[in-house]
Amino acid sequence: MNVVSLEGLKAHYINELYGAIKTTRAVDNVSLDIRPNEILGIAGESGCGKTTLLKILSSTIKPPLKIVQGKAAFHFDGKEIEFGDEAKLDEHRWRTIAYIPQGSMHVLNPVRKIRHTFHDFLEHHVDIDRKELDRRITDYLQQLGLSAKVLNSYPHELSGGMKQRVIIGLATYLRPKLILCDEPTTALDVMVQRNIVQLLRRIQKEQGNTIVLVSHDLALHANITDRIAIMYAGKLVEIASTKQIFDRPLHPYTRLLINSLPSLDGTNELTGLSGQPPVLSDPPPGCRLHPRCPYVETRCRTEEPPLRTFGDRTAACFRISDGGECEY
Amino acid sequence: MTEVNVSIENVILGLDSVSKRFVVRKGWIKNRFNAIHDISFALQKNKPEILAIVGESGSGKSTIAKILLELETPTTGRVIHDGRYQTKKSRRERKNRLLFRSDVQPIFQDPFGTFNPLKPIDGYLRETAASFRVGEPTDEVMDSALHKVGLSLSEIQGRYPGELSGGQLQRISIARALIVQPSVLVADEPHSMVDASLTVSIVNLFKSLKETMGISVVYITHNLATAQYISDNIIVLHRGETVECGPIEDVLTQPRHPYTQDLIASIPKPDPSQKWDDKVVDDQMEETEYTMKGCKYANRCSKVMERCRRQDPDKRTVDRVQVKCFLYD
Repeated sequence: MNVVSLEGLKAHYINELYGAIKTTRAVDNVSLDIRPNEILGIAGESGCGKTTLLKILSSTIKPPLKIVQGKAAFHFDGKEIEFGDEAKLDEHRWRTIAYIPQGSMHVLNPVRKIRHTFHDFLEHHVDIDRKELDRRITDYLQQLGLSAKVLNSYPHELSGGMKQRVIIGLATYLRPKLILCDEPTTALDVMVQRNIVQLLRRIQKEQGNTIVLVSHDLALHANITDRIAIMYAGKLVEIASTKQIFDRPLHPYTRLLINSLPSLDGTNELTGLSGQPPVLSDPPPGCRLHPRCPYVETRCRTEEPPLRTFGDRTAACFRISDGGECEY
Repeated sequence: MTEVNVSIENVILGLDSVSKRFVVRKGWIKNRFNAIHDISFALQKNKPEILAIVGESGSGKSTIAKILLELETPTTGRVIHDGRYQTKKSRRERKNRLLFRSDVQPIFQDPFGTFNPLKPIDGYLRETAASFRVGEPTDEVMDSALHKVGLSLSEIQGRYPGELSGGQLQRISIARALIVQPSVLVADEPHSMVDASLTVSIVNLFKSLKETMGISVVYITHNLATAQYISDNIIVLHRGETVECGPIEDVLTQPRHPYTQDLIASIPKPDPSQKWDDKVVDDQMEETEYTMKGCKYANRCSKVMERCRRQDPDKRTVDRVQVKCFLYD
């Protein structure tokens, strides 16, 4: 049973300004299944709707964001919970779905000690006395590689990596089934990034959760994820296992993303993507990649390629043959 | 080169054993620590190069940038500019300051923070052109600078920072620096706020500026992969000290200091078959590491010896590389 299933989901930001309605199609016709016990990566450039998709998954949908069309459902303990069922979802927040938003190291209250932040977060969920709770939190933090001293510190005394660990500790203390991470390592440098990624992988192994990881760094995805969904301008353009994506990318966009990664082994000339990502309130007609795609055909400019299945992977491009071979 | 063994006349911008000390107060107790300690390097005239300064956050990278740009004065040591030591007196003289600014230009980290959101973007370029390129037609100066970064004046005229993307804004800040016709750019993490796919375009731009216009770049970053891609020399910083420096190919293909080795192992490889092993190097409190005796990497180092905790290692030269570690005695 899939943990989350999305079917033809459309979520738009609808802004009304002086009577004119401006619609930003941040998530447009997305169908995605999230399987249990997997780490799913969502990759794409900034402004492609990654974060919006994650907001929908965490069911924190607030105006101007609105689900226009489509179906989304969670499956927890054999029960199906549909979207919009706010009362039922409230019960599940933090206990079954944990959301680590972007830049979440800054959510720690600067004038409260970490101990009190933990109490604030947990008081609605755990019904035991403070002393026992403190002991359990200390134990848990020690498993995450943080010393007991941290509980009595203020956020400014901790380094960026330690703060991020505290946040991960907060989010995973109740052993949620689904953890949503939005760019968990952007503000951190390489060594701390490696620690955090290893920590997430360890937690996933121990607790058996499902993790959805959003990042624009494909090299990071290569290191942690099992499956990757590539997003471009509000649409999913390719979904495949991590190995398939890196061994044989089907969609031109995936290929361009991988080619723009600098690595220590090669000194070959790197090619970035030319041009700018499209504005989502006014996307180009046809395939949304066509103004930037080097392999563009005439029909790409007018027709929109559907998401097609090739064995165990899917991609949306006209220039892939039915057998799943690239024709460019 | 990274050492000051060249005669000072040939130096366009450099540091001569510069240290910067900060004071942290905790109640009545004052803790002094060296944000950077004994840093030396020199960029030569007529020999443009890209010098990468890498290290984790809190290793003093930005302090070096500030000292190079004279936004901060060193506690000990001196800044060398255009064959002369910068002194207190020379910093005060307006003529000298103008000369310095027209030679050394900054590129900052966050392009969204650099520009005022309520001011049209071409205003910045126009102001710079008016004060540094007196007597030349402003529009032409602006347009030619923008062309060097792949933009044009008609594209950005009258637009506000909010209407442009991070990559475009960062290119505009490079264009603004180019109007002054500098010999050195000091770029402090120029692409940390920009997407991975656009990073390459900015990094390629630095490379072409060096090759076509002979501009040296001090490239401060924590991204070793891009540093390797464009730089000629590298300085690896840890807690304010140079732990390893030398030509980039020597340092990165054969890292000698354990810190450099760990840094290189931490770069995610775009290859799912080469995942990281599960060995975890814990990060430490910044303050404890800064105030430590002996080698500051001792707590995290996998090859730590008893001696490292007592004594601070000196720099030693191995082949073309300088390493600050007891392993190479």
